[in-house]
Amino acid sequence: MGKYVVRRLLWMLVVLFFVSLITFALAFAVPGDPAKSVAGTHATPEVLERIRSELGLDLPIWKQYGLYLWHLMHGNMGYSYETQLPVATAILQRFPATLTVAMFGVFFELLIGIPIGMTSALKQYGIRDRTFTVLSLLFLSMPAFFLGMILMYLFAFKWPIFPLGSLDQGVIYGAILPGLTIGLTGAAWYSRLLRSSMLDILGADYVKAARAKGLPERTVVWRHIMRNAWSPIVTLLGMDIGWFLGGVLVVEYVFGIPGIGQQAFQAIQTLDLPLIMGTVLFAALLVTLSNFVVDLAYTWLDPRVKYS
Amino acid sequence: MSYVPPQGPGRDRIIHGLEPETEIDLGLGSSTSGASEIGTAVGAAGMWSPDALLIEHRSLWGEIWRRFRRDRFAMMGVVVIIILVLVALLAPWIAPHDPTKQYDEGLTMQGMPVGPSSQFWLGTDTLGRDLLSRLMYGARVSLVVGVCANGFALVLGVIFGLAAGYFRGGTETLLMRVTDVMMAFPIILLAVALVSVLKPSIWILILVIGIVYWTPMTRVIHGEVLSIREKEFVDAARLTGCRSGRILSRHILPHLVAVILVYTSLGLATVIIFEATLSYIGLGVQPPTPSWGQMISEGQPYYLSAPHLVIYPGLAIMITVLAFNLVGDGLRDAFDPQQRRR
Amino acid sequence: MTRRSHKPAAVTAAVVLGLALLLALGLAACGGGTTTESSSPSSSDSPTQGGTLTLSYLTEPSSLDPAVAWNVIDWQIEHDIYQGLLQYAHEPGAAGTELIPCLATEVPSAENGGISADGTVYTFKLREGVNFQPPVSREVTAADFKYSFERMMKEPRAPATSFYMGVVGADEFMKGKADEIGGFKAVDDYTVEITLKSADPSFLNAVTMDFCDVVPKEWVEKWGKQFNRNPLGTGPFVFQEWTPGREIVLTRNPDYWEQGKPYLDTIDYQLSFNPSTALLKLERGEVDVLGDGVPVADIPRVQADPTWKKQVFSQPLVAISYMFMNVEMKPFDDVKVRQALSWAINRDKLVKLQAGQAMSLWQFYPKGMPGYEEGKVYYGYDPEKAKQLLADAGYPDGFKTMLYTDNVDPNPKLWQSVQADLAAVGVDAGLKTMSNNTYYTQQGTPNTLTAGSFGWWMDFPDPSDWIAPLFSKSSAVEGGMNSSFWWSPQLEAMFAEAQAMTDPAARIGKFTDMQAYISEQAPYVPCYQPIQTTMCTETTGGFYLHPVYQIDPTQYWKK
Repeated sequence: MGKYVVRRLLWMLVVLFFVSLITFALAFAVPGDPAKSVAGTHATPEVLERIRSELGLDLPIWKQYGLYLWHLMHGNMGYSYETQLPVATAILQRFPATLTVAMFGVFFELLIGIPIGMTSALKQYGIRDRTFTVLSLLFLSMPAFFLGMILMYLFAFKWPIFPLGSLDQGVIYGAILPGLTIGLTGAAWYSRLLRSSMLDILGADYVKAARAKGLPERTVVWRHIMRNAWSPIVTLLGMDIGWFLGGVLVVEYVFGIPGIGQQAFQAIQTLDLPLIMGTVLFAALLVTLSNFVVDLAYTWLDPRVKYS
Repeated sequence: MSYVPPQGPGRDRIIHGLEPETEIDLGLGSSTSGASEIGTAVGAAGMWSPDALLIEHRSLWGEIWRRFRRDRFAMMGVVVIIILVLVALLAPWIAPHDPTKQYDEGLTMQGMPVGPSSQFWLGTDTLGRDLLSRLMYGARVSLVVGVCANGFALVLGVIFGLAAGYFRGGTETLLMRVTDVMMAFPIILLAVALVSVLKPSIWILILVIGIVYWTPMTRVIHGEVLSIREKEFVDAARLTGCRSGRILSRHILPHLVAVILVYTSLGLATVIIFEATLSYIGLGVQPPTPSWGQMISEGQPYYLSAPHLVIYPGLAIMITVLAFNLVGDGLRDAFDPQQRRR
Repeated sequence: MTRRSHKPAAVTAAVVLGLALLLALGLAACGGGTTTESSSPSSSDSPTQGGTLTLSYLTEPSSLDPAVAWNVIDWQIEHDIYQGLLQYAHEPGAAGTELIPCLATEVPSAENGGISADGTVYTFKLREGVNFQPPVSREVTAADFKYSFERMMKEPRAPATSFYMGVVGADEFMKGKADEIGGFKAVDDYTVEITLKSADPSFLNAVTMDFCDVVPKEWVEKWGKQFNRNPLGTGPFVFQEWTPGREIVLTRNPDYWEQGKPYLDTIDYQLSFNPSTALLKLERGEVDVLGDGVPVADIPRVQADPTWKKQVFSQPLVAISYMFMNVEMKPFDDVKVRQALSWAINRDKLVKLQAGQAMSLWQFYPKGMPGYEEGKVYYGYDPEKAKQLLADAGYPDGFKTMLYTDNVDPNPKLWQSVQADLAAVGVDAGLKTMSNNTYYTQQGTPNTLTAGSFGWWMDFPDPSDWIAPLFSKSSAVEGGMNSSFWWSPQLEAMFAEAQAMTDPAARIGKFTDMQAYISEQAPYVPCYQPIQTTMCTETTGGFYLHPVYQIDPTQYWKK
């Protein structure tokens, strides 16, 4: 198992390398000129030329990539074209805000999705199952921007229960509405997957046996059904955490959260190459790490699954 | 030791006890190979049952269809889907207006969209175009994008996930690491790059969305297969000399049907809404062709003054997804009647 | 076990209906009243000292280094902190385009001898006793101006050096052949003398741009690369802190040279708020001024509200939106086609689509730019005439082409309207949107884009800032701003003639003539001029919009 962990971590480096290569290539495939974002649209061609040279953009692409990797290996992620801030600083400054929102988002997804999924499965086709199905699909079909603005309008403006955006007036307080926005839209996945997972198991022999033995329903549900239904939920959770930590742009935009999602989007719009590379690699690290953790979790959930 | 009997299209069924109202179904398909597998274990159990005389010969798929047909909600879902497809196909004939025509009377004096009226049944959008017509035409794009992108993601995801989870070893490493790279892939950057270089087209859109969505499917399937392959019946099948292909399709795949159905039906909504983000960047159908995602992205700033711009396409998406969900539920039940016998 | 019952169907339907009703009701209620701040009108309208003004912006500044920064928000904040030789009068409307002294004692002119007879030597006398802000706290001298100017020209990332290449010695300095700019002299501690190679009527405007603001050498050297996050100048507000992505706080300069100013104690810039959210915050009193203006979608609502109507302020921006037509690509190489299309676009509809936050533009100069001809209409809106002219040009059935724009609101929406206008005269145009960096780059690449949206805003209120970048030969190159790639020797001659004129009125007249000539050649179709609309709370005193500075907190107070 130890060897497996080491191997996975080494593979992570390989994955990050390929991601960096692809991102670099894509960034250059975009027919844009980062110098135009730095100098503005009123800059003359001579000025643009000078700035391009200053940013090292007149070197051949492979050379630029090589330089980038070289600096990266020495712990230097470069400086943002726009702000001249070190990329690592720029990202880490904004990460805590994204982290908070991500955690609340996952929390609400589970808080809403799991109980609904369980009830729907245990009372399949009952009133609750049908209602929850419709409700969760309603929220799933609503774009996050719209839902977020409506939630903010109702619960921060019309009835001032929560702050109008930002995390400054208390992190917990401010992260509830953004978390809820993510939670409501994403809960449908958890509830439907759990429901389907549980339904698969409900008809099983050992469930019947447990019930026949006279075990309380609660034990049957938790010990026998849930223990085996977790797999797709855990997989999804790992992916969600990885994705959210990369920054949920829409939620950040609606609620004024200065997270890395907005920063990444801006970077792409202005072709701020170092910042693009930095944010993508950072997000890639988080995603691969969380997938790795999930893979390890499989062994714990189902001891028969082994890694060599 | 937990033991989950395989729940598939009845071919490998091992019946372990019958309840009074049970319809005996040995799943004796038309394929002889199926029958021979079941022959020993199954036949034995069946023959000892008091209702053995009630065994009927039914075609496998016919059986599934019959069960499905009896599920009223699933049939409702099918009807809704048919209606949606018809609306999309017949849009040029049944839409009350040209979806691209910008009416002067479609905007208020201050340039805002107009609400429902006798001329515009659902009101107009930000350019004075009839919303109902745009919804109908939009169905063509969104349904095609939704189904194709989902299908593309489904096929890739299932194949990769199955292969990775079942064969383990080098295959698993390669496939799962590729999946990792794809998950970390900067899709917005890809979209921006493609937009600038290529002419806007629905197929690029489908490709881009498909790329994003096959990765979650792969991971979920991979995770499921890891567990399933350790189960006794898989060992049993292997011991009896089944080849990998058969094990995958007969023993493992049936267990995945439920998860796949859920992912596909929910994925439809997510895909169409993701289309809104992409159309904001410019990757999507070329204006003024409507699509539900584009209508949403155009209407969002008006969430307070004209929320119907977002609500109607949102409802359209919801109804579509609901229909697919009901069908999915019905399919899952039809493939596995055990559930219904509780 | 559970049996399937038929009840849930009806219940589900009822629930869905109920929810839909609730949603509709809730949202209908939204459109109605808005929570407003109840505050009685202040009894006196004279400035009061103290208080904090809060402004909201979506994007944070990229840099607060005057040599480098060019974004609107960069300049907004710089105006609070930095100053230069001259400034614009702090008045709304045309009065705000007048130059008045700032750190200089008077505006140089031919009359007061500040400008030499041949127009090449500018002499500025500096105010005495002006100090840099704490903690530098020492007097500003002419040497500081020379340092700041040379620093700006030498800075590799400086975007505006082209405006100052007319200064004697700038060429050699930039090429590294000289280690100072001979034409920029600190004659003594309080006299700055700038010599140009040839007379430039717009030089005073150029020198008033933030790029020439004075910065303290020791502070720049202390902070090095981080200077752009630690600004320090001579202005009314001192930089306090910058929490990335969240806020920037400025406090009153206790040492400020202008008596009685500024009025505010603190300015608080709140960042990362999208305009819709910012509006809600303003209605709740959490924000005093909307830095990004009122979103178009909310304008009718706000104008209909009796309380907020009074707090809405507008001014036409000296900026334009044109349709460019690449004269190097068919069929736009034919002037008849371009003239035909000049009749085809419904400008009034574009204005309507922006809830009236724009003015139809029937000429090339926007209102507020000298050279503008009040009431003049070169081409109107006449689709029939457009079709006729197209037929005359050899396209009786129209033609196919592509239209481009960027994805910044409201362009995608407006250009669908233009697309429809073109379709109405037989031109089948596809529409493609893309991100704005890509768009700007492709606009500047020859033979790439056929036609599309083009936006421009002034650097300073002089028509040379309009003609040179948009219609000149030197700009019709790769990376240039002349997206139509149109130029003409005749216009080049007219421009040289105008720049040599010493009589301001005659010079402006010449620029107006240029407009007539350009209209004839129709390389662009002028569409509209944007109107900037924003709101402030009732407690914001002295609020007005400035034609150049736009939002001007140095003049506001808190009631």
